[in-house]
Amino acid sequence: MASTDNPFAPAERYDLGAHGRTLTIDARNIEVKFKVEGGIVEAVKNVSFQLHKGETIALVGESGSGKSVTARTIMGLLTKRATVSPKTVIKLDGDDITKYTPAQMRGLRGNKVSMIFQEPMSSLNPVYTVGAQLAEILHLHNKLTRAEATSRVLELLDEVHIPDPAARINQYPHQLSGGQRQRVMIAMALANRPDVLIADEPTTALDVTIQAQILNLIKELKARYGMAVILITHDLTIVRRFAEYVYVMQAGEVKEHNVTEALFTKPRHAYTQHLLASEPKGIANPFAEASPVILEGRKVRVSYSLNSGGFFRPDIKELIAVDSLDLKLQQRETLGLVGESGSGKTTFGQALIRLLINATGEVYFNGEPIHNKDRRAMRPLRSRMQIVFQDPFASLNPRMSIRQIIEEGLIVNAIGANSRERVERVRQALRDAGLPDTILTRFPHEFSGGQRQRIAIARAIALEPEFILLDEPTSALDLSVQAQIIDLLRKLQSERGLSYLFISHDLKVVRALCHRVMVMQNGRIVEQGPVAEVLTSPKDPYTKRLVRAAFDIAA
Amino acid sequence: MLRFLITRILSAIPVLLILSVVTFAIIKAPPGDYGDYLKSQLMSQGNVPDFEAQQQADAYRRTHGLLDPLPVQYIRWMTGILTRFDFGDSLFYNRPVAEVVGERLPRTIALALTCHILASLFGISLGIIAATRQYSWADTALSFLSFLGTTIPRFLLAIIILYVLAFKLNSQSFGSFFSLEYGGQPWSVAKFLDMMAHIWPVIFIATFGGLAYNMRVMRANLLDVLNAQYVETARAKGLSESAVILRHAVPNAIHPLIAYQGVVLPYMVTGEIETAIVFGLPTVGPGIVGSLSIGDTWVTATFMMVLAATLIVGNIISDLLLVALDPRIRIGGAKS
Amino acid sequence: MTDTPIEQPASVAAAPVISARFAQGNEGYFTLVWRRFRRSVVGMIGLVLVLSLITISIFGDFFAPMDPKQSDLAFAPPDTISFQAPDGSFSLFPYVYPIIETGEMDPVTFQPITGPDKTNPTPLGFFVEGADYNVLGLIPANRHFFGATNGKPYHLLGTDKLGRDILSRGIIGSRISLMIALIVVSITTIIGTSIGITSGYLGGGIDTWVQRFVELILAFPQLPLYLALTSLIPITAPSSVFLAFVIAVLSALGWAQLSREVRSKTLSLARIEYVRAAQAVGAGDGRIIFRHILPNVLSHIIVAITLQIPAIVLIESFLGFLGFAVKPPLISWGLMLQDTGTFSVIGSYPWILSPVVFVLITVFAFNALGDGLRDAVDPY
Repeated sequence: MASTDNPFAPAERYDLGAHGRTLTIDARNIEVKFKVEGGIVEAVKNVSFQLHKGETIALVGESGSGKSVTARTIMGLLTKRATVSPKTVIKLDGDDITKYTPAQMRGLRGNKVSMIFQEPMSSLNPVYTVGAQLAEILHLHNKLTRAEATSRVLELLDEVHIPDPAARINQYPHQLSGGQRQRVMIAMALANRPDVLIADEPTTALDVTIQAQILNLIKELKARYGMAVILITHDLTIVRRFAEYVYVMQAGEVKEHNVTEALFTKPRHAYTQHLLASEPKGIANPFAEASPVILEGRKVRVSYSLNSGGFFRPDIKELIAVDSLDLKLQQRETLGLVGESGSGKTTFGQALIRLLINATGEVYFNGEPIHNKDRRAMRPLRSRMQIVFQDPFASLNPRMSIRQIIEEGLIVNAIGANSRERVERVRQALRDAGLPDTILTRFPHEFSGGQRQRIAIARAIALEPEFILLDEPTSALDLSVQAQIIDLLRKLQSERGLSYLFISHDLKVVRALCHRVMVMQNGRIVEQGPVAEVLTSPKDPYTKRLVRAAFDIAA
Repeated sequence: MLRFLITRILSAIPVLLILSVVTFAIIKAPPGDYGDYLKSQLMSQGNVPDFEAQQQADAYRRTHGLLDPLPVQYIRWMTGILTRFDFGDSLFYNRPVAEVVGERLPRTIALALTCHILASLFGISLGIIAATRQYSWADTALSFLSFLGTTIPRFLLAIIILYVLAFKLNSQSFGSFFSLEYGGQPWSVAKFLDMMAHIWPVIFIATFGGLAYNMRVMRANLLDVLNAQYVETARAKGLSESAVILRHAVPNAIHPLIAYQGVVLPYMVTGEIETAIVFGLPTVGPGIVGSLSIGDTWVTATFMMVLAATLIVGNIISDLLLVALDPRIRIGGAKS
Repeated sequence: MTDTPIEQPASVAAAPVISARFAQGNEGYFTLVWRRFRRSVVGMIGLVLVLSLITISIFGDFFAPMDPKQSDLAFAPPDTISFQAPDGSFSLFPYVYPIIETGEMDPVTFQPITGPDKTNPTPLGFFVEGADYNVLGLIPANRHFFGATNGKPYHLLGTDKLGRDILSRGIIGSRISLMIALIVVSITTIIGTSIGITSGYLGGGIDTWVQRFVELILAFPQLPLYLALTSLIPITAPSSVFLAFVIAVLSALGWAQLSREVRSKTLSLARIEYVRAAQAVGAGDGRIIFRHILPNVLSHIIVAITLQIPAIVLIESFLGFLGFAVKPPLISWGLMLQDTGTFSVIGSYPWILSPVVFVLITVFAFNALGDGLRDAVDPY
């Protein structure tokens, strides 16, 4: 695709050398191919970019765009199955690092160019202490005594604002939270004061408030040490706040690049426009205030006993996941349940539809008490309340065909007099979910994440329920696919009069879809009310922090 | 730590008790006992006429308590163990069982342990080599080796080696640990070499099987670990590939192997038993077979119990090791 | 944005290039497994061998060159096949010549020189007439796959202590050995899977107690226990009792390991989203276990079955080697190995170890098949 020149993505950026800044990285014609089962995949087709000293650029794209592969090409971290084209030239301060020997590359890594990754849970080696792993990178590129290294490690931990560094040095990664682990990763990456920091989706796996803290930390350290940052993300809000220049990637190519504000206000390439339009927008369907209450929960409580001590000193604590909460959901209403990880929102939702057995409290569905019904008594009600899960890959049985998956509910609830009727209903459900009805004999692994989520929605609506519990249904999806699913949900609600309980940590999606919102923290509801109120002028301090972090990335 | 040990040991006791009952019942179940063996020996070798042999056998039975009801015999045996550490007497050897077992058990354990250590060392190293050179010829060759090792049944290999040794090479060195001249001598290099010449088939066969299994597991684990994010982090720090593999990947890949000691140890012990039976070495295996066939009850029962106890001890040790090596289990969950 | 255009599933530009190959054909589980299995050389070799073994075993009488009960010269060495006709010319069909002394003496060792007796040729051919038998026990026939065209005895693997042809006995013996293995494996698989799934799915107290029980079973040192249990069988018992007993003994301990593995897989599957979705539509436990959990544990079970069969065959042969085997008129590899326990016999007549080769081939075949399957059964 290098042949047809893209007028919006020339090899050189528009503000090259602007403001008198020197060029740190000049990358041209990055081309990477992977050998896989069944052929060759061109992960990166023709990508060029430039990075000035001390600035932040962003590589934006959805999954499969090639942005992570590009980053790893700079670091030389590609696997053996990858081939980088000889045409590729990456100049770091004038030297072509694609021609470096392995030893020279190793001298660069962790030293002049550092990288932090997406998953803080698995980025640190579980069997070594935090202090040991930090010391390792120091010893690797510097001559230090043990004592010098230790004091340096303490300094680093302090820099990334980890409380009580002296105790942390001897702790293992699993004893730290996700946010703290990412801070340790940042400390490790910055230990040798690199010129370039590559951050590959550094906050995607973190809670919204932590996300803001980490991004602002990177900004602070960058300013202090004059470091350049390549930020790789799919989150447009982050890009707009932190990046000075943006490259938009799709399917291994750069579709458009420009100075940030210019890109966001006047996008020129169709894909950029499509991407910007995919930000969750719109508001919830119109809703009659006086509709009857379809789901009500009173004093719902869920607790677990957890062993948080070690193997030899078990420390059994009672963990209260949902602390005596009330909830009211009306017909045709979409109620958003918002919180960070560990807030108890998923547990609350599943307790309400009685998928959890150890919950106490009262739950009424259409006025009928369901909290004292056993599994057998719940059966006839099941078809009226359905659920869609977050993970599109784990929510469909890989051994069952699409028809079998969707038909199962019909069979179990004896809906449809014979096989032909059931198949017709399955077809209708697929069509309503925006899928072709010819896919009955196919299997889940043949479909993408977004398509699988539609199949899951089809499974839910095939039973013609009145209420659907949507547990983070769009969190694992790309931005443009997310927009489609949101539209689908809105359409289904207005066509079928559905009520939704929408669980999410993404306030932007909640704003686009929900009428009311309840904010949860540590098993309690800290604030609730109409979406417009709570998300524009929150009253509770936690809600305020959440809103600021989600919409402004302010810590 | 202490509490864990104590709970494990305590929970092992009922297992051993049940085992002892089951073993005892099984051994006593077939008709016939040592008295019959004695009688047939007397008649064939002592030329004693039938009637007198029968009388002597019965007298023997009376003095040795073989005529008492089974539960009584069992209780007598158990009290002996628990109060005096007296495991009974071997009827065949006319010595306390503790002596007979004491001669053979340490040898079995020593052999099995040696083979286990060798199999682990080689297996792990070869597994690392195979995983880091995936799809190369070295990997294919090692896969083939591992396949052979897990497929070729050990006792068949023993038979084949025995045949080759005995009839093709006219070797004399099997059936015992030492040649005659070294029997009672103190340890020396020459004596050690002589012993190796006698028992190398057993070590080779048992090690080969265990090596193949370890290699396969290590290779699979390492391949998994090499995909982990922290391995990429290690590379991103600028570490050399060998440091990444040896310092970061391997310690995480070894885990499941250690956890699997519970499965590997009985495998090695069984291997040693099978091979030793074929070669007739004076260890536990032939001991059990021999005493079973003539009805030397207490010996068999004690062997079985002791074997089971060894396996349980092995399991406990492997649990302890796992905890010692995995900080996640040792120290427990996250504090936010 | 209103209705988005309906995407065609497999060929959207955004999807990676590879999924084009999903566009046609059945993607059901077994098709996927077969496709991946085909690529494993070792697995295909194993499959061919296993199928051949099973065929030869079922139609054993047809493949066996001689009547396994017919007695000839005891401990006769294997006959060699030569492609020379009696007159010395090359012949496409093989001949067998008995070895006799030529009447001359070796000048150095003073032993008689032995050589082929050309006056007594036994030509071999395919589909010759031989001893009578019944195909599948019903249809009488007397054709054999290959044999001597003039009806004279010949022994490719020599004879045993009663003069019976070892090759034929090995072929017929495969029936009992494989049958024992198949029955034991069926029993242990059914018991192990049932207990594993139930224990894992129900959890709680039942699970704890069942697991304790499984640990108890696993603590038994297996080999010595088999020895002890098989010695329980009185010498005079008929073969059917022996068979039943061996099958019972091997089944009693063999299910434990599988149940443990099935249980751990069930534990992870019981919480997975698609099971919860099934519970959300109102599916009962039975349906969930049979439609959702069992099929996803199946891959593991298949591999376990193919790897346990050779283990049982081995144990049966080892027990036979030690002296515990079926009684005539039944034939099994274990029985054939019973005579090989004494060193002197092996030294003078090494060919009676041939059943070892049969066992080796069987073990190799099933292990190869299991290896190939292991990689293929998780195609996702």
